[in-house]
Amino acid sequence: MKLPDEQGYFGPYGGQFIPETLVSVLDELKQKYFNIVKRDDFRKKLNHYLKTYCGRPTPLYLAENMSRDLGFKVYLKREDLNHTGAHKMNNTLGQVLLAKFMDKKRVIAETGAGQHGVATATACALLNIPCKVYMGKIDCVRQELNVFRMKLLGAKLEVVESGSQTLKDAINETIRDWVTNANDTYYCLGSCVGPDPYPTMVRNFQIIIGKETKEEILKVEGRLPDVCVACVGGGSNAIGLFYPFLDDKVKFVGVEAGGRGEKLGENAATISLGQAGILHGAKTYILQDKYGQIIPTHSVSAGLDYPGVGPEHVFLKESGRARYEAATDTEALEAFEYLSKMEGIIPALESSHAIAYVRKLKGKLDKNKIVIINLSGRGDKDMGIVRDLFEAKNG
Amino acid sequence: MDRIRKRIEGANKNNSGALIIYVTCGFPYKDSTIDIVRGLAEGGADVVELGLPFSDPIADGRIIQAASQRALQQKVNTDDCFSTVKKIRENKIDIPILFMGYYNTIFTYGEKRFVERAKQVGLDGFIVPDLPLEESKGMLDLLKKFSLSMPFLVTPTTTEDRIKKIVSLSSGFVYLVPRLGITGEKTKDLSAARSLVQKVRKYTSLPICIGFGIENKKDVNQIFSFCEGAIIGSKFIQFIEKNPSPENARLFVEKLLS
Repeated sequence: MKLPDEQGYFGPYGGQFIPETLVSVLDELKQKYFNIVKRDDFRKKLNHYLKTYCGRPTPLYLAENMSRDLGFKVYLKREDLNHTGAHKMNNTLGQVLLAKFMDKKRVIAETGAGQHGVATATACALLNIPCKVYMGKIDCVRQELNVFRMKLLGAKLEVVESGSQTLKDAINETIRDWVTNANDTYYCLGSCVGPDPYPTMVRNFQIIIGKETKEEILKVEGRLPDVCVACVGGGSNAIGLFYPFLDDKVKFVGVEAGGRGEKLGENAATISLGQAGILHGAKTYILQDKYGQIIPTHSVSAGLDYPGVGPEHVFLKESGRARYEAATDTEALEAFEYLSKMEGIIPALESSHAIAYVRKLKGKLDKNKIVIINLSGRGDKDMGIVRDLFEAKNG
Repeated sequence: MDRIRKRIEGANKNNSGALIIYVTCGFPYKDSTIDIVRGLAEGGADVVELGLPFSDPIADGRIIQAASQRALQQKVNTDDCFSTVKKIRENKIDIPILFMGYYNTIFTYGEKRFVERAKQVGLDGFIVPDLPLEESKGMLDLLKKFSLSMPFLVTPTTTEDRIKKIVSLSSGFVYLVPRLGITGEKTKDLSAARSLVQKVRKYTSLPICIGFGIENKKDVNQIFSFCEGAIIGSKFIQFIEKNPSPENARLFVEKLLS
């Protein structure tokens, strides 16, 4: 069965839990999205930018040293080589182009670590449309360079001082802007979360990751991989990799942020440790207290630091199609260093969680097994944080 | 028996219209709410909207967000809100009371348990701004069973087809939002709401009340000239913060209705 259903549900998860003002706005978006993405002129233009501007297709790299070390074949899907350094561009190019096709006059976006904000600002600069990015005050401090990058790209930055002053409140504030300017504004949401049709739309713009991976692995190995692994915050890079293999005999593992431990508030492992609830317009798993108040999360990686998760992942988990594990801050930092030294590739802290999980499989898989890791982003943006943490550790 | 509708219709017969006041439960202090509601009732308010504090209130502006945050900091939870209503009723304060809360609070508590408890403590209904009618079937069935009211919102982006459905499922009144946006920002042009009110009237005999950005006596009088009720939230929160006494709450209402 093709999911989501007409109401935007993946099994019992998804839907639209939104203020009345946005109902007709989302109806319009849904209808126009499905019409516009079918159009030749849209697809041609998007493919053109993905190829000549973003640098796609990205390579699938056989990580030789890592494979030798772990005892099975490890491939890295190099989303880190995309323009602006992560898979985020696949989505923002698609959505901002859609905004143009819909004749919207401005684009708004939320950002946590700043990667989606930078990717949105980039697409808006390319396509000449005004852009405003909402970012929590705490995130602005920890990702100061991305704040500068967004401004350099011509975006207006709005510092969010409400609530926990991080990603979830940046999303709240972007939704409030959207409710206020519903007629001429396009909300470019950064992950496969939020009300229908966002989880579907973002997934569909990220599917290119899995499609390329499938072609590439068939070309070099002549067969499909055994396991696909990706980190999960909201889950867009993971769903993009998994989706084209959905009907194949390929295992999926999503790796969440285990933070400092399993205690509520110490991690962002929403699928592993959360419960069903409603956040940012969708029924999904969330990290909350027993009265349904959303709990501030923690992860060393700002991009995974979110108390919700895409509803489709919850469906994949409950139906048993995918497994979700957690990697702690410490494991992710070790994996960060490991891949840098082992392969000469500095991964994003987000992607380091996926690496950390695969390292745990050492000696557990047969040598001809094939594991593909989505290397969703590069680590340049994390240099400051990682340097500070290493210095603190080494005195 | 729809106490809210009755009260609003009564207010329109005897006075010029119904006044609905919003206040966050447990704001500014955990024990302020009973005094405030008493004052509002004595002053002549017709309905009270009691806000259930929520960490992520996407339909609210800064003032109500901050009030919610403050209540949460004082550890006000859903059970506290129910027992507040229970105490209000024990104090013989009879004014109709609605909870205004976000759906996750209800979902997490359990819809059935939530509605049963509401009935038990003497609540009259709910407003749930992030629960559009498409997702409301479970709640509507329970409300019917327990004779509680749920006004839905109509906004300037609501299509005429939806207006029809919304008013047919609403009870108590129809909550009309006169502009795009969130609570707490001044609604500059109330006359623009007239045409929306007319559209809604075509499909229902329910009272229509206007909320979001309503600030003063002038706004209230203008609203009373073309519909049945005015809802004030953020302005009251600002007003009551420093002195949450019954007298002060009464004064606020008396000034608006004088």
